[in-house]
Amino acid sequence: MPGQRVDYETSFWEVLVNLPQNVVKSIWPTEMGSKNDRTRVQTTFNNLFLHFQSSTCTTETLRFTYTMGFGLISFYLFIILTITGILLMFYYVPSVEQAYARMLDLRSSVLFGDYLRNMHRWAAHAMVLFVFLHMARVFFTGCYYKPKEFNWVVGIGLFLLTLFLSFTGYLLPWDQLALWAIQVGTSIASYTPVIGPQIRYVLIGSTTLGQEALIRFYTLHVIVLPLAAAVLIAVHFWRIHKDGGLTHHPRNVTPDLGMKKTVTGFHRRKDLSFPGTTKTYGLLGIADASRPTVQRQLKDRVFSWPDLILREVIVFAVLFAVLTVVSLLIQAPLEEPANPAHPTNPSKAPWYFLGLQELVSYDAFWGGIGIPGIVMTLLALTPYLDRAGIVGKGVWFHRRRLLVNSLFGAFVLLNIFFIVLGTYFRGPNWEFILPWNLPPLGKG
Amino acid sequence: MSTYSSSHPTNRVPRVRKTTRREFLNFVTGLVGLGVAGGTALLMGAFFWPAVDVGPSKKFKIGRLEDYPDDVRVFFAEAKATIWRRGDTIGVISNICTHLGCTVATREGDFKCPCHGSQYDAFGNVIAGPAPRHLAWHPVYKLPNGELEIDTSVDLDPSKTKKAKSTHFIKII
Repeated sequence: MPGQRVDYETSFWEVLVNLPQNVVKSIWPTEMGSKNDRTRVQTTFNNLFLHFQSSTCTTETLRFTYTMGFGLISFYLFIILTITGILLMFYYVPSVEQAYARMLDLRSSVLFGDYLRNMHRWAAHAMVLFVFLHMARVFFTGCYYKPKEFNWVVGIGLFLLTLFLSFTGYLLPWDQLALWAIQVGTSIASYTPVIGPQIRYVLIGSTTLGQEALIRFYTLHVIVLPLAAAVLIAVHFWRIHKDGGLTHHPRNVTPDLGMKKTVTGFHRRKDLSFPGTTKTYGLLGIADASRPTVQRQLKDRVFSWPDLILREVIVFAVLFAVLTVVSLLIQAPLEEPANPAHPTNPSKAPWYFLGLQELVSYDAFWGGIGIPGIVMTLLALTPYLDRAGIVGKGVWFHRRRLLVNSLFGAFVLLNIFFIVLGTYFRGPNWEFILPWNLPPLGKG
Repeated sequence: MSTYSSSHPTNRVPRVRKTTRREFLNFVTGLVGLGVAGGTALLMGAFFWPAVDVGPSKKFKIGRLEDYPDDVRVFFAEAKATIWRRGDTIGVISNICTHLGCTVATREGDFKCPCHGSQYDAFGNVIAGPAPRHLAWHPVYKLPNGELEIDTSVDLDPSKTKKAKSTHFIKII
């Protein structure tokens, strides 16, 4: 009825007073924090950015010497690289005339420009290292067995993406390193059987290196590859969650509850909801109890908040502190401007590609395509070929895995061997040289 | 006489299982979907194939015969090629390594690649390293004004061997 006064339940004054608290509640509608087990669960479960981890995890997951945090650190480095990369994009121009000058600008006239460029470069080097270490950790602890075979393959994809990202990244300054890396990298691609020269033509957008090549690798570096990596990372994490968290050796996860020992080893009892390799219980199960009714089953399990998440935050803090100090103290490499007539002598790739450079110095096809292709295919197929299975999983260097671990160990050692050989024992004209006779990098 | 019994020969269901309408439509839809996806992928691939190569010219003017000392191999940086005058002939040898395309250094008596250590003799024949074939020889032409021009897009000896079939010193008249 017009003119009639409407009775509100609360006064406008009250609405104003409660405004901040109501806004906060609208963003975080459920109670969180460490008050009781329910809020601990809700902290993880009701947060978009945390819920891809399960609400609880095993104490084994938290043991630092089990995972070393390598995968987590790789992920953090990806985040740091994304942020510093976006910042660098504001000052970078993907043009062969301007790119190098922009590097000098970053060094001299952009606030924190030098620091950001250093951090981006060192984080990229670190990411290659940590992704590799993570792969080695997963292998040596036997964590790719059923149902995680495919997640291992996703991991191989992420390793390759990391390498392509770092490769396309160090081309962008258009210095000597960039020019000769594109020259050599795309020439290796042209040794691909049947369609090699066509691949190179599409990669560099011309028959001669120049502007077309730079803009193509720039687009790959700033959007195509990072987007692909982000999607694969999401799949990688989601699969860990769906596959029941980290792989554990049966002896490390309460064998008296869900496992019974049989002649052939440990097996899960199918009918028991047990914190082993599948999801343990729904949120509903403990929603109304003062203490979770499943408490007895939570032996060897802790809530992700705070035990896991706080540890993750600490890892980030330490990582970022170390990266900051490194980036403040050590200049990222920048060679002379690109000069098509004179490569530097020796012309060396960054350390993680020196093993490959050593290999192609014997034969372009086998070193650059054949051997890497075979090795990566074998690595990707490992979970489908390896039969050491249930007994050997979840512990470092299990005896049952001696054969596969030795093979992978040989792969790691050969990698290190070729990288050391390429880094310290190759001088001008890629001739064998002793480390103390090496000329300084990037000169010549 | 209104119905046949089920055992009547004309009413017997054949043993061969028929494809249902649904299965057929699913199959055809899938086939069309694959075709569309493949076509799109092909067209996207074609998008990345530059219609025009905007690279720099492969022809270079290198001056006159008299500009070059007799029997000295001179590196012509702009063209990434080495000019070798012998009497009234000129030989042009590419400085692009046949291994992975680095620019090889013209040295007294040989060529040497700084990237992976390939080595060629003075005529560009492989003597060491991973290079799969000899350096290319380019043609040289005399322009009406007396200047010489080389064309680095032409390979006078496209054989895939480590040693070139012959040298290509071209007489300048």
